[in-house]
Amino acid sequence: MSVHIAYRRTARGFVTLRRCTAIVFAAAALACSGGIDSLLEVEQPGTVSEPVLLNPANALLLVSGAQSDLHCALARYIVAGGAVGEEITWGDLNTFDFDRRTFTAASGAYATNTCANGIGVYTTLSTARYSADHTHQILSGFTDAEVPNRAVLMATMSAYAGYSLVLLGEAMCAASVDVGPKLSRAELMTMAEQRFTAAISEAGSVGTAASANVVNLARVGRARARINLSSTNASKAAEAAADALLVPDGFVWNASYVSTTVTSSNYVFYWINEQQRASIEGPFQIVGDPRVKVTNTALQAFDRITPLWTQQKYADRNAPIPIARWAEAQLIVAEVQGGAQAVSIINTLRARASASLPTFASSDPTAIRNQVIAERSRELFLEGQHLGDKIRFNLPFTPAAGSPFKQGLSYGTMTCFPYPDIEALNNPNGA
Amino acid sequence: MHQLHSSMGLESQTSYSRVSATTLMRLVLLLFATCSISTASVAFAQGSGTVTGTVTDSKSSEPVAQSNVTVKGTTIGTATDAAGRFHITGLNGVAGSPVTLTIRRLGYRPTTLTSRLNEANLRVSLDPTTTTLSALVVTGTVAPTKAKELGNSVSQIDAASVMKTAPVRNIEQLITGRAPGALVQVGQGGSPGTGGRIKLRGSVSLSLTDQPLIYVDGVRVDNAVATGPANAAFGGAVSRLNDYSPEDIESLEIVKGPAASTLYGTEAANGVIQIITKKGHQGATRWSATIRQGSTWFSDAENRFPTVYGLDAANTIISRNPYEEAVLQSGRKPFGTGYQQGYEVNASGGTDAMRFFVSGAHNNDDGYEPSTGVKDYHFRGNLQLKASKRLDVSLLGSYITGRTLLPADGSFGGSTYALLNFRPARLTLATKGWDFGSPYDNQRVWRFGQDVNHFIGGIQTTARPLSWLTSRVNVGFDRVNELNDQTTGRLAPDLAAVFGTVTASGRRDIRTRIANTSSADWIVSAAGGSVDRFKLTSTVGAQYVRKEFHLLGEIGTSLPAAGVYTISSASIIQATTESIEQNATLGSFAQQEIGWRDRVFLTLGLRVDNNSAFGSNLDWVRYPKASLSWVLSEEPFWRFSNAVSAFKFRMAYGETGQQPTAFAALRTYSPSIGPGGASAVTPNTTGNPDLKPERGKELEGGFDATFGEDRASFEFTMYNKRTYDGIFAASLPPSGGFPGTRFTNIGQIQNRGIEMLFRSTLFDTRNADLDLTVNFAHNKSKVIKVGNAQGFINNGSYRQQEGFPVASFFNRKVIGASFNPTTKKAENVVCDDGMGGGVACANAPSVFNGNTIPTKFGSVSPSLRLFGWLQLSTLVDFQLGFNREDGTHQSQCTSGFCRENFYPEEFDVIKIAELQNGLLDDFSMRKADFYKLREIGATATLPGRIARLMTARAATLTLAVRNLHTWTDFTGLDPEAYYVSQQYFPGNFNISPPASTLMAKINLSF
Repeated sequence: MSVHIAYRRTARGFVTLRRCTAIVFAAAALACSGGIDSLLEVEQPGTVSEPVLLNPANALLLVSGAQSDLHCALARYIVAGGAVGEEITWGDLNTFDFDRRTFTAASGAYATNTCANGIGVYTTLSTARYSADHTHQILSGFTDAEVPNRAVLMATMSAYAGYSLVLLGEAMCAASVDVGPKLSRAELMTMAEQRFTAAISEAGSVGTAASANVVNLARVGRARARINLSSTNASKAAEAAADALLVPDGFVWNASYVSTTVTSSNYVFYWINEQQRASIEGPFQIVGDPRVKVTNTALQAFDRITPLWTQQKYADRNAPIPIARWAEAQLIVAEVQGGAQAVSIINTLRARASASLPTFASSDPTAIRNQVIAERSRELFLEGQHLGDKIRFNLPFTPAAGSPFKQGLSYGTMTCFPYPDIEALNNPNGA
Repeated sequence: MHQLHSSMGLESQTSYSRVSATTLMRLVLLLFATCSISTASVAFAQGSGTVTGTVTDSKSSEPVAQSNVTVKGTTIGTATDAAGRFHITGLNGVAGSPVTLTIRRLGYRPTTLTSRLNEANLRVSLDPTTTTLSALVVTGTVAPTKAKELGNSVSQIDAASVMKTAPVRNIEQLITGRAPGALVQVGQGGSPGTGGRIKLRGSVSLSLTDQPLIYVDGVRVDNAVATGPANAAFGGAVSRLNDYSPEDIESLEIVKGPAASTLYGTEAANGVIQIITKKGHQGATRWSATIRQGSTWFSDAENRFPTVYGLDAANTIISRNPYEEAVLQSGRKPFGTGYQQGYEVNASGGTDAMRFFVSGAHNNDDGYEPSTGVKDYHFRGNLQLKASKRLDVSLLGSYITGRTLLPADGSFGGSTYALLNFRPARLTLATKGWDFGSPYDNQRVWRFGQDVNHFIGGIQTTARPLSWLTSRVNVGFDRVNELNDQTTGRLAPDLAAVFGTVTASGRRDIRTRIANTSSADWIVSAAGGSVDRFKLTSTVGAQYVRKEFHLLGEIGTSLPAAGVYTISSASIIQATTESIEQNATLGSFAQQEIGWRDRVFLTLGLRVDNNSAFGSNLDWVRYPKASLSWVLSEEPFWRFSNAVSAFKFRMAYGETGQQPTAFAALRTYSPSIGPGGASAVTPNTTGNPDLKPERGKELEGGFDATFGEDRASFEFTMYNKRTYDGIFAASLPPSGGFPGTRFTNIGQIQNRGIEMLFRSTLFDTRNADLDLTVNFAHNKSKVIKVGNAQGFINNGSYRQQEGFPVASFFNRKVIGASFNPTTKKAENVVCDDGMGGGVACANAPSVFNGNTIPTKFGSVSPSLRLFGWLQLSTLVDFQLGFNREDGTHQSQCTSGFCRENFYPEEFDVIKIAELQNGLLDDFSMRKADFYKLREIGATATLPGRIARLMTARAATLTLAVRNLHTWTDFTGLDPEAYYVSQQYFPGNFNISPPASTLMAKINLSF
């Protein structure tokens, strides 16, 4: 009997349970009718979804983004490449692999650091390259009516992609583009050359001052790519000089910075002068050449053992860094043409820098070439050129590999940044 | 559907927020309304009968607090107070009529006895027992479940009992060594206020968090670890789990396996920690107070810092012991003895209609490094209202506020850092050999602090509109507001000369973290049938959890003057950051429990979830569950009753999940600053619209057995847990333009293991009894799939490689070398080729080099009770089967001041070859197994006359020591020390080791 009652209770229980279940699911259905979606909706106020950017009204947002990506990448590369290329010596307690030249493909900093988290090379330049190419692609989908000045903006993006590729080609031993195959330095320069050619084409017919500026930016860039390619293709040297000769006197295109945040700042000033994490290296501890403005502070850098020589070329975190300028173009001409033309360019540049700099005179081709190299190192000091020059001109790295390093262990043999593991292991085409 | 779509535009986001809040409010109102409907018609008349009595321990005659006293056949019940007293009212009947009471308490054998209505002095004596089959488990269902009915293992920790004798200051210490399968990795235990990681049954994810969910009396709360100011790049050291005062806690339940699936669903893959706080009792208000005094110190500090070497100006090798050097230079020891004190008072009482428990506590604990410590205040209150015979309402509120000061470890500074980075070769510099300043200087310079305000509020209504139908609505809110700061004021000239101008100019870095967690669940449960035959319990429910994290940060440098350190006073603002992350989970579930003759219990359940972070191509996710419990010893055919008095076989299967992080499915761009300060964007995350939650599928089986007359019990569990669709933060090839990682469902992980818990009364005499508790767990993890052709994913020194344990060390290893005494160089260096042979190291592959996570761990805990008034207890715990890099030694050697740099001939040539060839991971790899004498405690129940001298009714005095000794071959400061933020690669690098502490505690009951 009790069992029977129990079962009746159970049955009654299930009736009520069914009612409750119905209530639960009715509530769920109510929520479904306009509720569940909103219950699960969340805000995303700190980031922008990609579809928002596919709007002509946001074209300048993208262009600014691509420009700031390269500006940031350039400043970081000047620091990292400057440590490898002996413009600066490390004064920090971390990441002295740059200065010691002991980084490997597995090293994280040069390969993975972004503009937000330190000093990197490969990721920052790759992001800058992607931003410029991607923005160019988006702009090409709009009309001139939708985006004023579209051709110049597209040309600017082509040139910025070109510069990203030039810097990748000078800094890296090898690199990939768009998750593609592993590319040699020459292949990267060839891609850069194509971007600059596209920029010249896109801006060439516009006929405004702004477009002319972009054309000159692309000419200097293409000359730089071609002079790099000249080591494997001699005809490229003349093409480089031809581009360079078209650059008007006084031309300069700067990477601009604002001190609002560290990311948007001139990182060369920030790292050396403000943070004292690096010092000017011996060969550039020069007094008397205004192109290499440095100061012996008589202090120690952050590591408390490195004598602190600071740079004065960039006065603060807002100081612009040249990406391309007439002097660089002239030095490319000097390098290619040599002889009296080179001597003339050297002396012109010296005179413009300071009346007190001595005049150079020589007719020895080797001496002239060596002087061109020396002039490049001074004229283009801390502009992201010197490491590329050391590799291209096969200049010795000092102290030699095996010499003791101040923070322990010995100098290594690395002179360019190796194709990083993060690319090799995650890029299906990168093996 | 699940997230804000960009096409909606930024302007619409605010309105979404309103919609969500409104909808949440509507849902809550709906739940309350439904609950009210079901209870509104209920009205009844309460009786006036009472039963009053006292519950004591049959061995010690001590009162047993927090015993659960219920009147059989009714829902009337109460809990005993600190004096063991209870008072039940509202009973129907005439005076003297029989009333059957059941008294349960974790650690005691349940007792059922018959009293008389209006009995005023009932004496109940409970027998301690080793078996837990009769214990009640709060599994998240409407009503507590008897342990015998569960098909899965749930570890219970009797916090109130542990707190009597053990030197326990927080929840983490409460769990350490007391729950099989719960691995507590202490981490940065060197100063008060720090907390580590807790892993339940291994690591189940390749990239997502490994931390269990935390519930406090049914309210979901923040479970963040490694909060607080970051030590260099190594993250913070404070765990939110330790916000709760252990004095307020009745018990902990640790849900490790399939039980989590139906009730907690998405997010529960790492298990759940249920914190059950003390509740009020019926009767006169009782007060209890605890006063704690103690000290902490760096054990054997003078012998733990290795001597370091260098060359002087004459190129002669010199050596110094950094500890001795610190004493010599500053005339004081680098570490002190920190004074620790704590005060807690609570009151509880109430009537049949209302019971309360309130408490307040203050702790002021200094660390062994003078600049560290914690000062906090805790307030907690629980209120249980019996609104009617069929409606209970519980309110809870808790608030903690305090400040924790942490050591500046890592690459920052601090005493430990300074001692480990002393270089004799630099003795003549202004820094006198220290990397920056001496330990004493560092203590004056760095301030790493966390201010926290943590509020928890909750309301629970339990309605019983019919005798067999129960509805419970639980709404809770948890808010954590942290202000984390690193502050170095402008330095005095003497310090500026040592630390340099950058540090001397001052710096302030503040990070505010606000974490809001709102949770609401509604569960309806119907019970029917008969215990004699079939007992059926059906449960349906819905659950909603919404989390929001708001992070604000600002860094300012160059402060104007000493003592001025606000951000606004800094002349350079380095960075200002803000991020907001939201996540919402909505789930519903149904569960059917079938009991047969009160000895076979089958549970079937299904849960469906959706989450805002799921990819747009994914809809609802289902999590099924099934479990079986069979109490074989209650079967007629059981023939082993003399030897095995109770035996339960159990088996369970369940699926759980773990959601990806918010916005992981979307391709996004971050705002940046363009030329001239213009607005700009930069690639941020590439997104994965196909992203699904990880799915954990777990099968466990085991038994619980009690031997003899409850003299011993043994719990054994085997489990096999596999994570499918494992989310891995796959590194992106930078050439694709998007930096960082992309969450992808590519992995599979397996965790298999066993857990054992043995409890025994070894002897039991009139004046002495000795109990022994041993627990042991063995977890074997294996990566089954990583989703790429090469079969592994590198992550620095460790690797996720198919066929090997999760986060294994993989490094190049030297297997052969010869030593040239002339050059002092290792030559003819050959590395392991991974196939049993040798190869030139330049071409050598990385080979397996051990586990990063302990594979075997447990504890041994004897407890001796003497003369009925003195209890002695000890806990030795151990963690075995893992390696750890001695990063500090590696750093010393690569910086050229360890002994190997100067006397390589004294060392193993293999290690020298690795050091000299840059194979540093294996060079510094160490076996990290350890045994630790974790706790020794003695508690005396003071004579009544002494208690009365203090105007108390009863008093106990406890003396206890924590972290007294470590047995290990690890060469670093401590094998337990690591940076808590490093989930898979616990680096041991310039880190303060766990402290030793002495505690004297007196507890008074009034």
